[in-house]
Parts: sequence; structure tokens; C-alpha cells
Amino acid sequence: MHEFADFQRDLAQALRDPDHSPAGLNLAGLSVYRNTVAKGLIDVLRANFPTVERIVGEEWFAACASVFIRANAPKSPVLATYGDAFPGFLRSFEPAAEISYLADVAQVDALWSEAHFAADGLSLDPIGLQALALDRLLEFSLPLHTSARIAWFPSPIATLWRLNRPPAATPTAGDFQIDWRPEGIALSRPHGAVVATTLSAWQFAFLEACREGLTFGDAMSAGMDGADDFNPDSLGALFAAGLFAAVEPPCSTSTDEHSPFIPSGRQTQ
Amino acid sequence: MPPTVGLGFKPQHFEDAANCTAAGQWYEVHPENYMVPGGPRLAMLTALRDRFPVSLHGVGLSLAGDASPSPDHLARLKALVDRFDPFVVSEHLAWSVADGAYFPDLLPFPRTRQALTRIADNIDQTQTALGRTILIENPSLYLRLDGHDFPETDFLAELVRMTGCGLLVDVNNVYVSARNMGFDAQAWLDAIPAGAVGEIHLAGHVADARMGERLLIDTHGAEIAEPVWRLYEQFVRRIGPRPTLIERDEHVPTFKRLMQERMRAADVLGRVASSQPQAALHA
Repeated sequence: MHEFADFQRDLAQALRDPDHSPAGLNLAGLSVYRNTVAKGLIDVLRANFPTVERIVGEEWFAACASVFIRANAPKSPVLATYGDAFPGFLRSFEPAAEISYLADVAQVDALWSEAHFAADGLSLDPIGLQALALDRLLEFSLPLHTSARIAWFPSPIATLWRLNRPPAATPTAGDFQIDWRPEGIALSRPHGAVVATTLSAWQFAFLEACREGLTFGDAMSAGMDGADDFNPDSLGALFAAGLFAAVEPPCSTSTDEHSPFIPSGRQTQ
Repeated sequence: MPPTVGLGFKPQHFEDAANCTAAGQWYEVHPENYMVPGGPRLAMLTALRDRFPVSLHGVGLSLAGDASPSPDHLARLKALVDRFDPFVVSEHLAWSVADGAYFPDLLPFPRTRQALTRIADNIDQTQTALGRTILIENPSLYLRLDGHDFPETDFLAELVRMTGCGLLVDVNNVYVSARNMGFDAQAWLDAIPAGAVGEIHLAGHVADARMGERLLIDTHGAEIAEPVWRLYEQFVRRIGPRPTLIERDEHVPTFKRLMQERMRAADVLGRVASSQPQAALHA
């Protein structure tokens, strides 16, 4: 007779290890549970890493995912962001070695999921900034939006990711030419859907400085110091992508409840 | 909650689901899919809940596990219950967590006296944490295990008696388990205490690719089978109409197609209600 805990330990082991078959259990029945567990986890990885699957194909992805899930069982039944260790796994997964950018693309898929499920919040309305005098603007900190995720890569990962992320049409070799250079990416969810923005070196340095809590002026300096491609005009793209959180201006003397910094009715989802 | 027919909500059907005007429509979701800080999923459920009753059907509490439900998971579930005020909260007579690892499945166990005590305690902890009773669903079974002290129906009835929980009877799971385990589905349904049943599930199954009809798989990926429809009608004739859910998770068809299956279940409930006015009033 099975003891309650012993039975569970034994069956759990059989689900993890295909070579472990507890005595007395019918293999056909056991394989239903094994298949359901494996399919369930692989389907979650498929959903969370669609760009990786697009690049490597369904069959390769399933084979790779089945290796990953054996060593990376989820620790919680909440699977919305299951696979946060998948990019790291791909980095050392030998069959993936010839696709040098695969792990970085996986990292962007993971960031997309984080942005997709991040807490709701209001985005900064740049109209409010325009009303500030320059000296006050320079003292102002711009915290990133709760959904904002940024990353920098030594290769054109943003371009590769955007070309391959479903539902984009599958690219063919003749469709594009990739300028092989470092690139950053920002993901944010200003109005329900996640938006991707390709970042130049200074844009990334600026956003990172903002994330660290530097003032607008210091963040601009950080952006200019870190890169020789400074272009103040492209600041607008960062605001348009909703990358900054709505905040009260510092040292505000205004008693007006309707701060220009907090747009009305622009609740993000 | 009047005994009407609802659908398992699929995000790809959001527009049709939110605009559905069918009388008595309701939706069921797995709470685990909504245990996220924010974003479109929660926004969709919020929009649905504004217009329809919602039920939360959990897969992650691992009530038939040899450990208490995770306090973190219970807290997440409680937060959703407080936010969405579901008319039913349900879980499975199965386990899915062992040694800190989660298996996305509904795993079996020998129905021993030891298991009964442990599971009753887990249900009790859940109901205390949520401040309400829950329904417990019979899962599909694929393994003949040694060491059962109770038939499944007696085990469920004991849990009802010990904890005050109700039952969610999945008629497709009864049919699938009966075929796989070699028992009589009709006799199983006849043995269920009518007063404990708070909800019924209907779904489709397929024959195993290798074993054929000897091993049925509860895929939620096909239309509801005719024998399951017959069992369903006989069951509600005996116990009276109950809220009934059409589940579909694989090969999801159009919303319209799911509504056709819904209509068939609603017809059954309507026929039973008109032939058993007492049962209808009581339900």
C-alpha cells in the first residue's frame, strides 16, 4: 500500500525522469501525465518566446524546450512569465551556439512579457514638460513607467527581434539588409499594447540614467557622455513610447489639482 | 445564481464575449492566468465582470497534495476573489505541486483515509483563507492505482460532509475516467449527493493516438461527445438544473460555434426545468 507522501514523491520523480517508472503503474497511463506536463510547459514557453520559435522553427524549439523544462520546473502555478531562465539556458545550450543572437532575442521576448504584465500606471504627458522653464526642467527627475524595460546589446537585436516577432510576416533574405552594430531596445505599455522602440546609444544611456533617478539635466549629460550620436530630437520618441511615469513636478508651487504632468483619462492597461 | 450555461473565456473571443447578449451568460477563467500585476488580461476580465457573472476555476492549489496550500498562492487567489466577486470558486481533487515544483496537470493519488484527512484539512484551510466555500471537481483519471480505501464518489461525499464544500461534477471527466478505469459512468453519477452539486462541466475528449478507444484523453480540444450529452441530461433530470460550463482549451473554434454548444446545454436545462418545476424552483 502506498503512503500518501511516498506515492506523490514517486510519481513526481516519474514525471521528471523518463527512465523512472514506479512499480505497478501502467506505462500508457503514466505517459498521459508525462505528455500533459511536458506539453503544458512547452506551450507556455512557445507563448512566452514566440520570436525564438519563429527563428529556430517549431521542431527545434520543442526539442530545445523539452531539455529546458527538465532542469527548470516552474516553482509556481502562475506561468505568465515562466521561462525567465530560458535566455540564460540558450546562452550555454550548445546546439544554439551557431545562432549567436538567439539568447539576446529570447531576452527581449522575456522583457516583452514583463512589460505586458507590469502594473498599470499613467504615462507622463510631455505637454506638461513644455510648460516648464528650462532650469526647472533640468532639475526634474523622470522615473520610468512601471511597464518600461530597457536593454542594450552588442548586436542589432532590436532590428532582428522586430523583424521576427510574430505577427510580423516571416522575413526573407532579400527583404532587408541589417547594419551589424550595437543596438538597444525599450519596451513599454502606454495604452494596453506593448510598444517596442529601438534605442541609440545615447537614448539607452539617457533612459538608464532616468531609471537610476538622475535629474533630466544629468541624464542628458549621461546620454551625451556615453555616446557620440546625441540627438535631442529623438527624445520625443521616448516620450511618445510612454516610457516615463506621470509624476508631480518638484518644488511645485502650483495648487492646481490638475497637474499638466498627470494626464486625465490615460490609464494604461 | 440561476442555473444557466456559461463559457470558459478565451482571450481571442474577447469582443464577442463582451458583447454577448444571450440570457444568463457567464464566464469562467483559471485564476492563475490573472495573477499578474496588471495589463490587458486583467483589463479584459474587469470589462467582462462589469457585465457578466464570473467563476474562478483554480488549477494550482494542489489540494490533494501532501502539503498545505501555498500561503502565497492563497493570498493571490483571495485578492482575485475580492476584486472580481465570483459566484463560484472551484478547484480539483488532484495535486500539482511536489517539493516546490509545479506540474501543469491534475495528478492522481490513492484515496486512502490518510489522504482524506489531509485533503479535508487543505480544503478547510482554503475555505478559511477565502472566507467562503469552494466546489471540488472530479479530474479525469488515467492510472489504475492500488490502495484505494474509498470509491471516488464516497471520497467526494466525505469531503463534502467534513468541510462543507460543494462539488463541481465534470461529466466528461466521469465518462473519460469510467472508460479508462473500467467503472460505470451512470452509476458514478447516481452515487453523487444531489444537494452538494454546485456546477457541472462539459467538454470534449479524444482517443489516445496509440491505444485508441481503450484510453481516452480529456483534451478540452473537441466537441462534447454524444454519450456525455446523454449522461448530462440524465444527471440534471435527477439533481435539477445547475450552472453548466462549456470548456474548450485546444482547437478553440469560433465563439459562435461555442455558443451553439452552449445553446444545446441550455435546451437541456430548459427541458428539465419545465418538466421538474419543483427542481427549477429549488435551484
